[in-house]
Amino acid sequence: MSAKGAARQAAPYLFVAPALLGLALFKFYPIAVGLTASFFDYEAISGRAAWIGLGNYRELLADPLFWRACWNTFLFNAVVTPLQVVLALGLAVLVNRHLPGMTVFRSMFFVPAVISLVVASIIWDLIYNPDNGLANSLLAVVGIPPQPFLVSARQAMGAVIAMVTWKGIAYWMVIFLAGLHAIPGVFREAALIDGASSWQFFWRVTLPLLVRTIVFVVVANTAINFLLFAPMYIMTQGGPSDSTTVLMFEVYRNAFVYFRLGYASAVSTLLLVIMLVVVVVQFRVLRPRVEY
Amino acid sequence: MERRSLSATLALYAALGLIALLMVLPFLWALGASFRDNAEIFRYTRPLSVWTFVPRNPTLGGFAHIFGQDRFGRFMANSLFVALAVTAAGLFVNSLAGFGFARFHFRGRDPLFAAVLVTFMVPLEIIVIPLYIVVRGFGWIDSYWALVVPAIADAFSIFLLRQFFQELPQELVDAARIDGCGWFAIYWRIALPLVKPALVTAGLLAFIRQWDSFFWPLVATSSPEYTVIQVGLAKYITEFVTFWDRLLAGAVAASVPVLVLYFVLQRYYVQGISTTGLKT
Repeated sequence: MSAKGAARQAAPYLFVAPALLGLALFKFYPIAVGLTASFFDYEAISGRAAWIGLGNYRELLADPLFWRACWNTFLFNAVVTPLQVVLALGLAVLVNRHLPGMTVFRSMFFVPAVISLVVASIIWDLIYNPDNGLANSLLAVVGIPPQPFLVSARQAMGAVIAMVTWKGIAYWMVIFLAGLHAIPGVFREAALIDGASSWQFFWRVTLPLLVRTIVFVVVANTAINFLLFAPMYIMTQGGPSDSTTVLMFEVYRNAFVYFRLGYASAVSTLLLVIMLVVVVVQFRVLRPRVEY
Repeated sequence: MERRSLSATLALYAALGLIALLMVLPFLWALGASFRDNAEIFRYTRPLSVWTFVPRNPTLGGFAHIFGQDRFGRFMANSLFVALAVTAAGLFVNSLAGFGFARFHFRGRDPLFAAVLVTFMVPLEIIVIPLYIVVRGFGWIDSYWALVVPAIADAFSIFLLRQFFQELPQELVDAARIDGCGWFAIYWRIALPLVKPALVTAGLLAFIRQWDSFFWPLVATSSPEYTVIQVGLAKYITEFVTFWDRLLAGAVAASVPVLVLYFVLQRYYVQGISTTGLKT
């Protein structure tokens, strides 16, 4: 083969090599390391690792805090994900019309999605201030007495859920809007000629045609919510009395506060397994039944 | 266009207005409060009035302190540097790969591209511990290297740019080949300028993702020299719980760049998010 021919053969590989190298080093290699790390005990300072087999898992399953974190993670997801999906879809349908001022509303809806999760957590932390926070003064307007919010073990999780829902809706709304735009306009005209009401049209036509988008949003949103960490780190540090300790917070605390990398890897691995099971179930239940 | 009664339209606007208020109120409150003296942050919250949101005695004290005594200037400069470096290097590396996957047939192309897509489904949080172990092995912990290098190669950018490169007409490439253009020249001088909208979208999303990134910088850096703005803010609230004026000034300052980018480049931003959804 001529030198030029060899160069031609090599050209495609040269184009994709830098990116593939990056992904191999910082995605695939860590995945491989992660699969094995949970079987090791890491020394905090030196980083030396000793094989301990299933030791981390045995310890983990005997730890009540792990089970508490599992329950909290489940609770958090069981509320946040459906709430966000339903509200985002409702909002998308609401703003998906050609009326004056609609773009202004959409831009305003998007403000929570644009600011960072850290900033949102900080702002809401102050809004939830039990003595003089904005949340309590808004509640006072409708005659509800002041609530403790984040300092109460009974309310903290709910308060975090409200903030996270507020933060995430607009992002998923944009994806639903794209899905709504993909539905051919003739469907709507045909339905209206047949005398369908808007409500019927939504249930019988829009929703079935949107199933693909809904599945994507549910699955992607589940993955994000399972791994949420910043709100708990900033607003509650997992408290009060571990009422907001989710699995991801346990991963962080064990790995980077107690420097137990092996144990944290075991939590991380189980978190991944739980998440995958949930996602597979979602795919099964929501599998698209209509094609167009 | 369907007909709608006046009252229904008014009800719709009322609903939209109420939702919009709920969505922007928290940030508006924070914005107003960032110009207050610390003692006044919570003074006018109850009962609700215009002074709940508008500072009565506006001051720049919070901003002056965080940029003067504290090192928020450094934190913001770090974030800006990291975000720009990742964006620039990422656009180059990922567009090269996008072009390679879009315009060539080569052995192993499809499995390699599938591998790229797999990484898109692996969230950083899941690999953060092993990534820490890997990056520590390189000796990069607590340096810019740890913040920049692992973030450069990005499956979403490759995917998006590949889509755009695929849509370029083959005649354009053929003509350039006949004129004796090398592949790199075709990529750099012909293809790249034609996919500018995709570059803006990918670049914008990469920049914002880096500006907002928190978990990885929190674990990968510890000294103030390499602290990025989100980590600086988070540590501020855990260490100096009662300096609300400074905290909110920091939160507002950290939000200005992304809010400006969003309002200027809204179209690209929304397009980028929509693409994420269509990927299935």
